[in-house]
Amino acid sequence: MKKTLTNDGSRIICACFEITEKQITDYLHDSSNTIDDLIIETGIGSKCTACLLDFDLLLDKHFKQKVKINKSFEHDKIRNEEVKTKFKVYLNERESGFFINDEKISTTLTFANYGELFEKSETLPTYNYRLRLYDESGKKHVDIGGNLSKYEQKIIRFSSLTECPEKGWFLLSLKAVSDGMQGSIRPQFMLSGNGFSATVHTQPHKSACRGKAVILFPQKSGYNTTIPVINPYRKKANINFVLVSITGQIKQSIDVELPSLGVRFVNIDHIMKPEPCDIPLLLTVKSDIPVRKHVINQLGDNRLSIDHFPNSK
Amino acid sequence: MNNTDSPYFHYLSPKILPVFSSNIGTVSCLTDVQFILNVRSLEKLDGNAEITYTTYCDGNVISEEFTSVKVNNGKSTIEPVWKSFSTPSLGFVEITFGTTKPLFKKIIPEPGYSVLKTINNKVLTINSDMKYANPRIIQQIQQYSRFCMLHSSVYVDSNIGAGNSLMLINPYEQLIVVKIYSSKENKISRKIKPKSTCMVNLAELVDDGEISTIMLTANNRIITYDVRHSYHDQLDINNIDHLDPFSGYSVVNYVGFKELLGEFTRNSLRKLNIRPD
Repeated sequence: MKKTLTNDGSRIICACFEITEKQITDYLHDSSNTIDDLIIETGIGSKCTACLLDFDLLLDKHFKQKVKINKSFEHDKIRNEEVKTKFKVYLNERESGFFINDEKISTTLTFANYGELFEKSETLPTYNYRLRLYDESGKKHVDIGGNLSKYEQKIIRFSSLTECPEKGWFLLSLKAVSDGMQGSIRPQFMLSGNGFSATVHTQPHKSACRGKAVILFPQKSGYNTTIPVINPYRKKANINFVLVSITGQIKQSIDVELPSLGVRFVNIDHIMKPEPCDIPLLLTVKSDIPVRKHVINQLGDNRLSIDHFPNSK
Repeated sequence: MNNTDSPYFHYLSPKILPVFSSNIGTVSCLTDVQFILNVRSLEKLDGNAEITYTTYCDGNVISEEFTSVKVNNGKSTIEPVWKSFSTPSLGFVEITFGTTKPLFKKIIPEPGYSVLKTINNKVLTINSDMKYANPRIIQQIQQYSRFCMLHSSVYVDSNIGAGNSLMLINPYEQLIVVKIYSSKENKISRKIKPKSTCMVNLAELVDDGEISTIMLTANNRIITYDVRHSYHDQLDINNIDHLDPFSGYSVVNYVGFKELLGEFTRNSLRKLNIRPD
């Protein structure tokens, strides 16, 4: 592999600050210097972080000790001091998404609790989970739960759940019940049907927001886009779909009502007039209370592409 | 040696997007200087914002475009710009945004999606990735001293004609060796040349018709996407998603009394079925 060399003839470890292997070893062979001093003085590893692995290997090679760089950072010391005066709480995520469960399309929810690269790990926690399924009107149909142990993956096929409606939204609660790292836990849901599968991560339910935009590309066949909008509250939501040009000029604006705890799969072709083709537009979805939004692009061959709207932060 | 005390940066981390050959489709993104300054800068700029779009394919620069935009008292003098990219074969575009004066406290780019519009007029959403400084990857490497990405819903199904690949983009200067593992202890390796993109079909790694988790590691960070496509054609794409870093965040958090009380109240309302979330 080609090495980047500097005037001192040694390999560059940190490209951001042009710090070479020789500079690091010379610095650290002076027993009055510490790794903390090196990081503070040079910034090594603090910008793009690409060198962290090389830096770690270098320390291992020259100094025969594995150094965890994070142990040197000042903020960890501060955090540990803060901990003494604070209360310990466990991760208690609530994630949501939409589902379709009809003759053509099925939905599967997955979440896994594996060690890094599937290795055995002491740092894995165990979890409790609870899954609730609501239909479009906000009626709850399914409420199940259980445990997720170490080295376990849950694959929940909605078609296998009795009383699962054809369309709706789900709320997944994931609560850690022992210490550890989050690792591989982030859930995903997958839509599949004839000729395709498509996945997207579930998003924190608290990231529901009042207004975000996605790009819409009108075509001759229409917008071919459906926006599932989830209302997580026990009161109805008023939604405003606004189609604007990239310069902010409003093209169309339509209001839609959303039942409490309900979801509406809003087909943009049903509520918006056609616009000139091949000119990208922004579809902003505003609401009087925070709502969760996704986008489904129909690809014209029974296949779908899915994504979520940008989050609140 | 340099010092890094300055709290402000004059650039954001470059954004990386996959790019396809023109017989597949074009990848388009919106550059809105005003929006970027509104959401990321700490001060009003009097100077220039500079944007560079560089497309790469098989280790070569295919195109480079530089735009300098005059900004007066925080106001951009140009409207948002829509840019489209394609390369001779699979490649990527690197979009850098900088200013003539340090303005940014963090170098995380602005949020927003891009799209792939295929020659068959199919439109897919793509989320760009950061070339460096992704906080979740920094945390991961600090925690585990190793790079590890994962996807917990890989699915290849020849019966329904659904294929699944990983797209690996190496925007860096050195060759990257990637190893991809399945939960059933299968493994494949790939070498990704500098400034190039490659797709790895997961049909050779996971069982047909079964949903699987895969993880990958590499000797450097690498930009990764999960690509869904038809079983027999890797470039007949219907969905592009990102992989997750194996999380180095703890499940334990420490909160003050006020936050603890808030959490207790929210949990109580949930138990009483008053608050669903």
